[in-house]
Amino acid sequence: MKNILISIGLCIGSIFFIHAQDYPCKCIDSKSLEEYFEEKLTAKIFVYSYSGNTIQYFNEWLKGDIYLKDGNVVKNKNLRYRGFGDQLIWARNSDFQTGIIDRDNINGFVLYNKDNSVFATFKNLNIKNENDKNDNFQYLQVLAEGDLSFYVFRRISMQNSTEKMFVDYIYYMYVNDKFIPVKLRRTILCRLLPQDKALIKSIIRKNRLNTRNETDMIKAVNQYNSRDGL
Amino acid sequence: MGCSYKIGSQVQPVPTLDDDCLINRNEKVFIHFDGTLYAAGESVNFKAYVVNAVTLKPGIYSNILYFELCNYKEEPVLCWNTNITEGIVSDRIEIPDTLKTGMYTLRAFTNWMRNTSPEYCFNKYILIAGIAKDEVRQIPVTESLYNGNNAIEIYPEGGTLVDGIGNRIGVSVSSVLMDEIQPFAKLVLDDSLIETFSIPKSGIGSIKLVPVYGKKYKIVIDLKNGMSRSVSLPEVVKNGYTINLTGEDESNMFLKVYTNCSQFFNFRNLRVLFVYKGKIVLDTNVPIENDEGSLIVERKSIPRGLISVILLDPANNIACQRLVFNDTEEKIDVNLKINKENFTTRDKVEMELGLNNMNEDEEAFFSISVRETTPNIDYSDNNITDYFQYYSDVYLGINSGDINFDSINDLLLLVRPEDYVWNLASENINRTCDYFVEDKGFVLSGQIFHKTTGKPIVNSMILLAAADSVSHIDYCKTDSLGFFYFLLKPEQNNKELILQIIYDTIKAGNVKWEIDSKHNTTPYQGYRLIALHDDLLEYIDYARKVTLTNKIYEFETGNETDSKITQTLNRGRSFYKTPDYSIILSDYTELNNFKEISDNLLSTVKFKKRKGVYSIHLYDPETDNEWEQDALVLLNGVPLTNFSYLESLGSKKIKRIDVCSSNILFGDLSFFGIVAIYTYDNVIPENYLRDNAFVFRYEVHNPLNIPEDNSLNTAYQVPANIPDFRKILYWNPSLNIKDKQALKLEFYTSDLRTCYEVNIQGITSKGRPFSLTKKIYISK
Repeated sequence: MKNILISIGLCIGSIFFIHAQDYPCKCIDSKSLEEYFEEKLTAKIFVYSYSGNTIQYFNEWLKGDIYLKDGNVVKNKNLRYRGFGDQLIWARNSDFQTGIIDRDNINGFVLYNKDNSVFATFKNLNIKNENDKNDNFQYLQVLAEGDLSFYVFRRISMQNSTEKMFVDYIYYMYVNDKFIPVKLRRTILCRLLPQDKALIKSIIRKNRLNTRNETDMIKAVNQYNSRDGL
Repeated sequence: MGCSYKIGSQVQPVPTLDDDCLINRNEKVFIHFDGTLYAAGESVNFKAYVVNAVTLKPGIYSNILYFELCNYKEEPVLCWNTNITEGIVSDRIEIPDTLKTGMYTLRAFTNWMRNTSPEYCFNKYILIAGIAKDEVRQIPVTESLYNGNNAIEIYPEGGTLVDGIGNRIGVSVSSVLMDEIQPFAKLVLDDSLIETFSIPKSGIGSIKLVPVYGKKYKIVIDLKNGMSRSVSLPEVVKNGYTINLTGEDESNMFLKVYTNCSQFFNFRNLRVLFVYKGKIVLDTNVPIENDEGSLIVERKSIPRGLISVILLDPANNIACQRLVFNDTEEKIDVNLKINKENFTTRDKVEMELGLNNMNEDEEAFFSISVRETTPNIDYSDNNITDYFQYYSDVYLGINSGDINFDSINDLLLLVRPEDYVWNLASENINRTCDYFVEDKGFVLSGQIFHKTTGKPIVNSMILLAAADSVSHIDYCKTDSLGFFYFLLKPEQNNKELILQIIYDTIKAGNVKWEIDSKHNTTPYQGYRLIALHDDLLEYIDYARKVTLTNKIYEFETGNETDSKITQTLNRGRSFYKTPDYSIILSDYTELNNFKEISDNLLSTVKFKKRKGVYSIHLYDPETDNEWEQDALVLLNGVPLTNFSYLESLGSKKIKRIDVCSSNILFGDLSFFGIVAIYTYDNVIPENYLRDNAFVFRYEVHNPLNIPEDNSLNTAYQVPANIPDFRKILYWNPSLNIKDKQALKLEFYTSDLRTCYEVNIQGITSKGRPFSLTKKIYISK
């Protein structure tokens, strides 16, 4: 039954959804031209699993831009980040079929709120360490960037026995060309930046920041980067 | 008693709108060639400057420049296009050695410029000497060289002749006709001569006349063969208006308005509009007293450039109009010092070049040619300054190359308002542009029709691909007129692109494809035979001999740059990125056909033949689903719509197979899995292409790669044992100067004892063109 439904869905999907409309006046500017000749996204069909389990997704469907490795930007797509599986899901406008966009194609993506403010920025980063043989690309949400960068891997894991999903975020600090997984603690900043220990302490103390909290840690990193905590 | 006033033959609308589409975003092209007359088989070096038509700043929009060399029938005999970076490119092209002696038109344009008339593209008439000696004493010349069918143009200042009001009448004779006429013209009234006036070599003359209502005037020009040609002056109106530019100085322009209507309408003022590129930049009133009024316009109050001065009657209709050029900006002066004026053969020439009046943050880009001077054959060979400032905006159809005007405004007296490109643009405010701005790359466009019915095929999906070792496909849908458009990527340059209709009931063989060839030829209007002077015939023969001699003794400079079209190799990954699995056929035992391969090696692929029809279905292990529809099958990157071509492919021919078993979304398309087959020979069967596809090759001429030390120029010294008959002593297209920098250049003279012209053309980053010509002489 499941197969039949998928097939029917895909048959509908194979009918073309762009209605024949005349091309616009060719005097459009380059921005419109870009939109007009938009780079086509390639995605592997996403078959919904664990439906109803919304914890697997980081966000509701939001509009977003995808930054491709070839330098092109595909704009205003329906996107959802799925922490369970670390996948970027795209729902195309024409038929709302959903697909997993090939990670190898992507540099990053930006999700926007309905008021067009940025909801979250993700980068496809290789967090492999010196000792790792293979590349390890993950979509990391950018929390703060500068001399010290702060990212989070919005991972959702599953308990094998109960199939219960749970939040399993991993925070990373990027310093001295290395991704370092960290726990949200005050000491971690001092340990990563021993030369600026006094500065960090001062930032935290002066702003009364609770570095066990993600928001306060972002503030601490941002203030360290802008050096205006003093 | 009604005063109805017409300019030319049509009533002009008052331009009020800023037509951004056709005006502010238009482009102009100027090409600086290294020589003036070429022989077939000879190489032509040139530098192209593409600027915004309003600001004249280089490199705003398009990044592809098209060229076409047309014969007198307006048939392209050589077409090429080149990529431009920031509006500037230098290149070299070889004239086909099959061309016969004749006058050819070289046209350069961007795709965007095709939205306006071809006359506003860069047009240059080039005399090419055929390599085979012919006894040609006359050559066919396209009629369009004659400014349409009017070789003699007449235009009263402001456009009107009014009873009792004195006015100037401009007369222009097209350059080709100049060879056939006596150097004077006659103003005639009812077959009685009123006055004779001279027509100088420039082909432009003027005469003053106080016309009388009801009289018929004409201009008669005698031809050398005893015949004569006459052109009637516009009808003299009983009541009307005139506008004249009576003088100008550095700060002001002085205009006079005359009328004989004030007694009827009792007006005290007349409204005058100054229109710059479709926009009113000054709207003022001229007080009228005793049927005349004066207007002094401060140059700084209106923009620099060509301005339409429009006099409105009391009912706000256009009464008369003329163009003026408002020159306000400080010009760039080229300061060229040459070590001497007279040189011997094989002598060293040293030049020092600087630019005055440059701003601190301004950079100048320019090219230098030192070329042999030729007889007066160089039609419309403007310099970049005049071309960008006037001639590209007004269609004159005259030989303006050697004209020395006291003022450009004397020349503009002759310009009919309808010949002014910006006015044309204003008239077309509501038109739809047909051609894209190609600022991102080549736009492949076309239309498809049913072969049998001739009707456009609408709403049809077209796939674009190229045979390659990786697969890159694109698609688009035809609109309600059957048009389709693709933006090509750089890796698709110089490749055979394969277009196919997919998912359509129309048989591919029943499709007629019409691809936009990006030509911009003018309609053929016929030709005239023009006799060649003895000195020109002599020069053509000489140019032919010199070219042949140079070909024989072609000196190896070591700077030869490969400008041939090269096949680019595709890099990167296929559009489907990571396949579920890949099979390298050489890793397995030999299999004879694709059926054997799919049965034995491709676990998820089912290749079947039922009732003579082949199918390929995939099984997706992830969803445990076997797709009921055919997979997308790519042969060397090209989608196949008929799988019978696969049957004979065995592991001897196939190198690799990629399989994506799951459903793939590609833009708005869905593929029920992908099977991508790559063969060793990387070809698509010809019979498949013939029956199912349309093949288009987009060729880009690779611009010359100029080395940093500019060694491409001809600044070398030819060894003494090799004859040196270079017509071009020096060519350097890639010079630039910042601030008050000075450039030192040197080169050697050849064995030719003749006069050479140093020709400098350039433009600054702020859109200020500059040019200079200077002669040097080579004697024993």
